[in-house]
Amino acid sequence: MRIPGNGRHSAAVSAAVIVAVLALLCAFYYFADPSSFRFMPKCAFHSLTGLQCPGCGSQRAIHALLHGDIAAACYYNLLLVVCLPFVALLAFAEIFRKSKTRLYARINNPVVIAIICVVIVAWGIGRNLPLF
Amino acid sequence: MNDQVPPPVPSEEEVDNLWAERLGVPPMPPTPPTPPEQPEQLPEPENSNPGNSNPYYGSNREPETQLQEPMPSTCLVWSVLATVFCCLIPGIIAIVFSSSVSSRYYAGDIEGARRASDNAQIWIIISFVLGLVSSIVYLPLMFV
Repeated sequence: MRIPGNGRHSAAVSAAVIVAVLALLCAFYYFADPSSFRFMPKCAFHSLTGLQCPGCGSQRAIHALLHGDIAAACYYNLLLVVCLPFVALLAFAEIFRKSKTRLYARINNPVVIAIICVVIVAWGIGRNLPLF
Repeated sequence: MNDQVPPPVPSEEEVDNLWAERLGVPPMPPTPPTPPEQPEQLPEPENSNPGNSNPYYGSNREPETQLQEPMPSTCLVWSVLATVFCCLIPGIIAIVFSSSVSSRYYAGDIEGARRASDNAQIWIIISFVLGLVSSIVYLPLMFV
């Protein structure tokens, strides 16, 4: 049933789409400053509860990162900056899941996923504590 | 000299019977009778060599087939991105399902891992849609 070569073709197309979307997002977040520009998506969790979710500040952090201001990016969302290389690694493993089976299985170890989950939840709780 | 035909390679069954003869044990039945208990289900029965129905060869092959079968997608990147950027609670559920994909895969339950992978995808989509909806709901408030 499967057309030979179709899988490779669709993989190339989806890779092109992903790169194009990423480039557009980067361009958008480079020129739009979320802290002054009003028409930005807002976090529903923050609007409803007033608390900061684990992803709050990501848009400002990405804007700061694209302008090379790592300190400001860390101030807005430390988790995002720290985890960016790891997310890139995860994305790499996901894209090459079929060919790099061992790498994929090693990265997607249950322990690693549990650590990720705990880190995200702990960051979401910890950043709302009145320590900072 | 060179045109001698090499003797035909005996089949595994013949070799087994020869050894049985030489060792003085009764030869194995040609086709094993129905196994008394259902053997542990192999994750992918069509992956193993179908010609080799000899139970004496099957036992040490199971881990290999498990490792050769690639892990179903855990969608971990998307789970994490959906948690951070879209909606918190469904994203966390998606991460839990991603973890379940991985642990079931390592336990040899490929079918369960596939189901968990589908569930993870569903929760990622829920998270994305909720994030989108909340942004759209917020849209009129931006003009105030």
